[in-house]
Amino acid sequence: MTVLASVLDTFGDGLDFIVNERTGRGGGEVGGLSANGDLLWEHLKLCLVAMAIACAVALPLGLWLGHTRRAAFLAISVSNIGRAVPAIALLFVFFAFLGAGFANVALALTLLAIPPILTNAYVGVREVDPDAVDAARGVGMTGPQVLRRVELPLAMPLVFGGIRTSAVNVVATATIAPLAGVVTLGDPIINPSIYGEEGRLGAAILVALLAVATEVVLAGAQRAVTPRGLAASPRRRLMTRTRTILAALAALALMLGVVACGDDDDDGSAGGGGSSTQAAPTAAITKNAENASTTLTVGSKNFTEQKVLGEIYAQAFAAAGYKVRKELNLGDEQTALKALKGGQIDGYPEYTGTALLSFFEVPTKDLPKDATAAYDEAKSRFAEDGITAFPPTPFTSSNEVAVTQETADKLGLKKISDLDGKSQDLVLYGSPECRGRDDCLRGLQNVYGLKFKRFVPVDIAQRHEVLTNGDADVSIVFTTDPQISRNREVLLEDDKGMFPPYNSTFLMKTETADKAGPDLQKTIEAVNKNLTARVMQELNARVDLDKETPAEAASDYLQQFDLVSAGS
Amino acid sequence: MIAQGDNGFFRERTDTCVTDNGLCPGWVVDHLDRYTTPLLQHVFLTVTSVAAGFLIAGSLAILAHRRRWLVGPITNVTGILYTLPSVAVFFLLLPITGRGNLTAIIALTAYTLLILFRNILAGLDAVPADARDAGRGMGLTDRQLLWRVELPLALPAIMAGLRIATTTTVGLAALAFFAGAGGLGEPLEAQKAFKTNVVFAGGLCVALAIVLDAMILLVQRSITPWTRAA
Repeated sequence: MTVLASVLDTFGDGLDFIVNERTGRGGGEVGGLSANGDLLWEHLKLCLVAMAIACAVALPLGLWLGHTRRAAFLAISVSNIGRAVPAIALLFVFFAFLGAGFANVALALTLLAIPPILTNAYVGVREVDPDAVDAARGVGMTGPQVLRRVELPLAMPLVFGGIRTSAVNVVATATIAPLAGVVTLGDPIINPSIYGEEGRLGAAILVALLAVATEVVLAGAQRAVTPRGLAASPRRRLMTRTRTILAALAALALMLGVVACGDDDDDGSAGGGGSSTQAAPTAAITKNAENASTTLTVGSKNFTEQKVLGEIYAQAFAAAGYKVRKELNLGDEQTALKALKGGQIDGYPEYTGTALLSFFEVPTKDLPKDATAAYDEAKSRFAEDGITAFPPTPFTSSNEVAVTQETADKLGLKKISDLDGKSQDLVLYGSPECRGRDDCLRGLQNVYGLKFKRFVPVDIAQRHEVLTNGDADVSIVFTTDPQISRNREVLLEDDKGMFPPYNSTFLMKTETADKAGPDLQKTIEAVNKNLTARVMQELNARVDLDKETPAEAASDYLQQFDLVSAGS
Repeated sequence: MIAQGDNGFFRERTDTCVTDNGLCPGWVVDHLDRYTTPLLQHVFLTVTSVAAGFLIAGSLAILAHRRRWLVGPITNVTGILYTLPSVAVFFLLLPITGRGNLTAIIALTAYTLLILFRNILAGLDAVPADARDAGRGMGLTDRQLLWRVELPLALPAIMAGLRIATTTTVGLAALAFFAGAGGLGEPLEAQKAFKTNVVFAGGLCVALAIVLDAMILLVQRSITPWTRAA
């Protein structure tokens, strides 16, 4: 029963998130009725816009087609096709072709909402008793009159059923809208790195309640618009759902409880093992059979450079004979550090600057200016937490404030402080965690005193597209991004020293590092040696531009620099 | 700083379909292997969930067919399960069942229940009273009547429900990667800004739905020959 207790505890934390504000992992305030109310409002706004457009398009069309009995095949098959297209695929197609943002997501949701409304309106009108229509014509009604006064009222239950199906579906799908840059109630679910696990659970509870509420309200409305003559028919019994809803929820809770007593740890996370290769004598990293008894789980954060670095270390450790597992998409730095401390991963690459700012909250004025000093400080701070920070890479990959060449020319921008007096008209895009970071939105506000017209959190992979397609005036990018020169972006100089050096250092619990033996440090140093800015940029380009997988890019790197033997 | 062996490592990049983020069929052909495992996972999740849902909903429908008072409560409970957004369900289950296939399959199965229950029950209810009477007249027990008369005659409605449930589940399984269960949602999300990828991965989902739907239709035709004779 301890499992049950801990599960209930977890759900209690989730509920607490809904009503009580707390400090999020990134430092900002999250949770509480007011913040969740804002998310809820954005969620509803998105759904209402999508439903309004969908109804405006699909209702007249469906009713008219049903009335004239035309295009039966189209009206029916549109809902079948609609069912077969996954909502998330629709969302990403719009995202890839049109970019992030409210309008594009609303459009995708509209497309999702149309099929059930259209088909139900069509079927509803067509299935009206022909005798009733004949009678209406017999008393001298015109076509539009028949539709408005006979067919529509009789079709109302089905027509409204379509709207209800769509609405519930749209509310559900709006949950994943943050993947395309709209911050709805799904944000805590998709970005637990900011809101914490309790935020994720709290939001999941809220989204579930919102969907049920939508269903209940629309079911009530459907009952209200159903003509009295039809309401008594047994088919309408489904609509007395409200009454039994509490009983059913109680039953659900009971089921959850029963399941909870069942099994507790079923961690199905699979990690692909690296290939174990027999290294040729010339390779810098050679296989040591003694290492086979040590399993290392390599982690990384959720953007290209991190995934490539994670793959490089994973493959290099494998070549040195270690057993390797991978967790290469952990989210932001707080998530990765938590995973490291919690033992979910054994190590991951982190940037010295990120560590100083996000983990150790070094004030901007105290930031070291030189790479060695930054590493030394991060290393000694990590050591206090029982974490070893291995010697860093030659490359540094800072956050950068980027604008297009046109924007820079038009506004005369060279330094970040040039944005002063102009930023209130500019839209800034950044990753979700940017909101709470001193080397991102918070620093731009506090260090440079900038206020932007809007900050739009967007998936980190979109940081260049938002500039190219004109959504963003200013975007936060990384020094080693190959898109900077390709897209002729201008990086604004950090004239107030907001960004420290960001060399990458491989982090590991000291305890684990000691157990892994001397080959560990040797391997890391061999790997790091050639990771210059130019090489890192090339590796990023292979993934972001050439669309290779991080694993392919990593493997090429290790072979190119004779770190492992060819043919692995 | 580049100490050794960087010959040929740095590529000259010209603008190609891939770097320009266009629609590149050639790229798909060269990278089909990226989609094979996710596709198989997708099929596994769909088939397992629909099969589990079919067993549960079928039992419930047979139960409710005999004991009518159960229809309301079962419809309501499965109706609520159907209403809950799957992404929310994944994370509501997470503290209990952890990441992985189990969580995804429980959630996906829950979605099929309402569709399957309604259709199976409607099929059983639509069996003509004459056919039932004839069966009883031949001396069939309740159980024999169910398996030899009622269920076979309800097959078209049951199979129609199965088709809707399968198509719906293919769509929802694209979200299973949230629960750590893979599926086509994983490659879809991994390069969600790459047009070729989203169109192809999304297209694979649709194609899978159509193929599974056609397969069920074929099975239905072969096991209900009498529906064609008419």
